[in-house]
Amino acid sequence: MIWRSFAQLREYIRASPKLSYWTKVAEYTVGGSLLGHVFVNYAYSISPIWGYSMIPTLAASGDSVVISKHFRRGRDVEVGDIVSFLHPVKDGEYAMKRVLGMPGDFVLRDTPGKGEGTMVQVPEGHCWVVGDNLFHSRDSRMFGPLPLALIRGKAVARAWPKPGWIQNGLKAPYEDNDEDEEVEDND
Amino acid sequence: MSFSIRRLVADFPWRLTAIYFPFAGAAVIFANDNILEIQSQTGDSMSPTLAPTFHETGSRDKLAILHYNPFFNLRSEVKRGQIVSFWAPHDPEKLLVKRVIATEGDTVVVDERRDRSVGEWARAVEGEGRVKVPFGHVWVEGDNWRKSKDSNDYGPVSKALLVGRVVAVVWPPTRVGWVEGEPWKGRTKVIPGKEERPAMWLNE
Repeated sequence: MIWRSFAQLREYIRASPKLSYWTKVAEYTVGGSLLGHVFVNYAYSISPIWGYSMIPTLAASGDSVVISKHFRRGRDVEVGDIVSFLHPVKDGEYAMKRVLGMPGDFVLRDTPGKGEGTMVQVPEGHCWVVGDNLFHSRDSRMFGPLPLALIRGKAVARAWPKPGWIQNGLKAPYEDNDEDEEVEDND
Repeated sequence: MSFSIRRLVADFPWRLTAIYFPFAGAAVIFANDNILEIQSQTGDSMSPTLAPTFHETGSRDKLAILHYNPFFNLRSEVKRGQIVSFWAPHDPEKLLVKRVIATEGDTVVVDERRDRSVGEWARAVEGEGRVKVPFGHVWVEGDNWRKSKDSNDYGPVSKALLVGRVVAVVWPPTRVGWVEGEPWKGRTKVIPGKEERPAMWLNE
């Protein structure tokens, strides 16, 4: 029968210690990298930051963040989230910026205080991303709205240094935060 | 040796299968992401090249898509005439199949027969009549000019959105064969050009 030949092959490999050792090494390497690929692409990954554009939230070098791939293709992404995306102009490079507008929102096209103060509407299926360091960031102000399909994940936590969750910095104050209101009463 | 289903079931290596099943699944996902994917062509925008009788019979072509991946950077070498699969710029969960009409630096003389009803882009195109494809982008169009939503509607498509190149039709059996992209001579006129990487996008 067909399974018999598989069994015979396994017996043949098991008979030779050298062959069985290298077969095992190959199995663990291939299997591990396959599972690793799935985990990194569909669950979480850790990636180092390089660049000045997200100062002061993330340092220019030396910081690493945890990227949740649940948010790939812009799923559940909200205004204020830091997202990692495939750069729409630079081939094969990734970038990390903060989402300032989702489809339908009106956003300022230029840097505040520069230009004519034109507001543009973010088109369907796109978002508007801007770096926190406005003067050293090349973002949607240059390349326009970013297709949500290019987003590969959201930065949910800082891995190194000072591990901790990254909070959404663009939530309206006191929106769903009772503790802050109590603090105000004390004043 | 006589054939017996009971023997086949009894001899089947169930334990090994249970151990290796997650690895097999991971292998399939890896292959779909980086090597080859089978995808169904929906709609008649690429008729008569792909799914020519979709309008009449609803029959779809199953396409083999060779993925762009980090190991071989073929995305940067996309050429005019190739049929590519890409994420719809207006819908992050939708894959489209269209033909690359022009690459970065080329000037497209927009075909006036094509329906350009959607979007702000269309209006801008109506005014000029020709579009220079910006750096890092391609201009895609469907072969069926009557029924195609393409770059004439949503503008040049970022190369980063390209997923892979259509290499073959694998189903139905009567249509099996390689898909020849180049050389392509369509009705849309293209003035070839070259685009340098703009100074803004140079790395320090």
